[in-house]
Amino acid sequence: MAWIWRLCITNMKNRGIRTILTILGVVIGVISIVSLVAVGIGAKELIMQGFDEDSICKIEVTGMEESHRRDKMITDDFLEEISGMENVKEVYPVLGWDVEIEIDQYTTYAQVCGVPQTYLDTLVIKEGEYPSGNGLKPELIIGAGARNWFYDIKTWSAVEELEEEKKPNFVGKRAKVTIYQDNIHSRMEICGMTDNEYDYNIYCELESLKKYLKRNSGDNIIGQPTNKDGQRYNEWIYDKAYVYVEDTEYVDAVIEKLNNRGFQTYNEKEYVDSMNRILQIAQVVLAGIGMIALVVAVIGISNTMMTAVYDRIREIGILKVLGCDTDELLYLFLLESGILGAIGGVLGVGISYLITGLGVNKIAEKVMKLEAGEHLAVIPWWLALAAILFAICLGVIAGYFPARWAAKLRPIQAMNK
Amino acid sequence: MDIVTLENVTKVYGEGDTRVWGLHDVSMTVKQGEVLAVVGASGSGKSTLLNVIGGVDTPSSGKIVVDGKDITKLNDEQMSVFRRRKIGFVFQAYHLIPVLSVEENIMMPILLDHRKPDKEYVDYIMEMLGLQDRKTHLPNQLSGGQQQRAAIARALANRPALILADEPTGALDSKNGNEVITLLQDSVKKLNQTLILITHNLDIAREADRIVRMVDGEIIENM
Repeated sequence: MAWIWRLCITNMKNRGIRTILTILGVVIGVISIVSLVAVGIGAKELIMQGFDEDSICKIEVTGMEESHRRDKMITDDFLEEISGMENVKEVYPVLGWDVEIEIDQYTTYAQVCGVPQTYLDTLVIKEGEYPSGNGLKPELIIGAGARNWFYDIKTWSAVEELEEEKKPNFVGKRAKVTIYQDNIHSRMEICGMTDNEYDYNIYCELESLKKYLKRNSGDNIIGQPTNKDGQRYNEWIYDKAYVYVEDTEYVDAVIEKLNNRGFQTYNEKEYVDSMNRILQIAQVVLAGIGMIALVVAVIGISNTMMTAVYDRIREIGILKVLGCDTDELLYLFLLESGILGAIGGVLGVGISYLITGLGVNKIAEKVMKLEAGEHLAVIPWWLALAAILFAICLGVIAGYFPARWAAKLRPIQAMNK
Repeated sequence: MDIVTLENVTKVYGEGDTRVWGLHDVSMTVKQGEVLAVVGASGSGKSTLLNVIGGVDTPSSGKIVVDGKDITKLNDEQMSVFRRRKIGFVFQAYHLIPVLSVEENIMMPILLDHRKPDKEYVDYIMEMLGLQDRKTHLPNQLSGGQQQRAAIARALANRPALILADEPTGALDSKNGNEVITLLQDSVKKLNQTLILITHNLDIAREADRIVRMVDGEIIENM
């Protein structure tokens, strides 16, 4: 078979400029498709960054207190039931109370979430510490995102608008907390702040909150629902529960069970799923644009192969007279167009790495203010491999018809042309 | 033993008024080891005769048996195999493959048949034709006479049943032509091969065992 390779490579060398131009066509096609798909992949990774596995595995469940039906509310019994559910890892009750918080000249309305100590332990504290549990009042942990929602009553500007260094440090401060439903004021200490910029909650420890509420309430405990007769239930009714499932794949099933039980759920997976759909459409559109360039490349290869066949019609005739069979002749030409595709594919992928690495990502870093490790365009190994294989296939397909025509020529006519 | 038998072979080109007889009811035989010269004017059907015997063209009617096989019944694929195993061609215009070396050109029919070339035999032929120091040269680095010698070597390399030479000296001056034809005839005799040779040159034709003269697609003289 060595002679076939020799024939191929020598012929490609002899038609140097035409070979180079054809390869250039494939290169441009491959670059356009690879870079566009790479931007699609990179953009998806950027968008999905805020959603880690943990947040997707978390389902927020809310009950229906207006129903006055105990089985539609989140009670300790319900929590126990849920924690026994298949594929459920953890369940945390959340007792929410709507408050106005003032710290120095900053103020905001927020819902403080009373959660069990076990849940607080899962939070990553950036500044300050976990609640000590000493003292009569609950201590607050503020989410890094929640801090942004405070605004300065002097200037009416939000903390969010301030530069990172100029943002106030609330840790250690005493906040004036007003439960506005009952107009109860209290001063509570901010003991810590979480690390997560997307965390818009303010937390306190559940048991200390319960004690505090009991102490400061009359017959009906602040924030707790009442039955039809206006009397409180003789157990705690929680606003929400955080249900963690073992893996993202079980999210949908658990949500369905909860919905069937009559509970409302919120989960980021739905959001992520719909985002994924949009991104998929964007990727298909981008790849489609790239395909146009590739189709042009295919026409280029076809053209080159056709002229190659015409140029070498005598040689084809000689080979046929000498007894070269149709398959082998087909193989000879397909090998050549395949090599053109392969060279174009490899060069195209190589240049795509350069373009995305040194061009697109550098520009995106500046324009979009990306942090280190964030890239707008990402070429995974499978994309590189697929692009090369695809280019080879296109080469072979483009070469097929000219090659078949060549292989079917009658030997004597071909030789005497 | 007859190596080639033609029975009422006809080749017609075109249709109706434009119909041309390439071969007109030709019947003949060629014996194993014979050197047959075919002479005739241009367009008399000499090349057509050679082409149908060599299986590069198909007759319109009639039967052609080469080395015991009726080649008019073969399909394209079988015809390719027949050509590379049974026939050695020598053309006026040499028809070497320009990008391959002399040695590769000579081994081509063997390579096409997916066999390992018998190096000793190839060397022997190259030596016989005075090509051993031209092995690695490309065809365009050789003189016309040398190129034709390489083409002859290619025709012999496969030990074919039949060698078909279509005016092998047509593109050479008389000195080179004589040298080539002598080498061809000597080689054929030495290797006990059968040769059908088309020529314009009556001196060359007289060296053959037998001469066939063609006019308008018919054999009119068989001497």
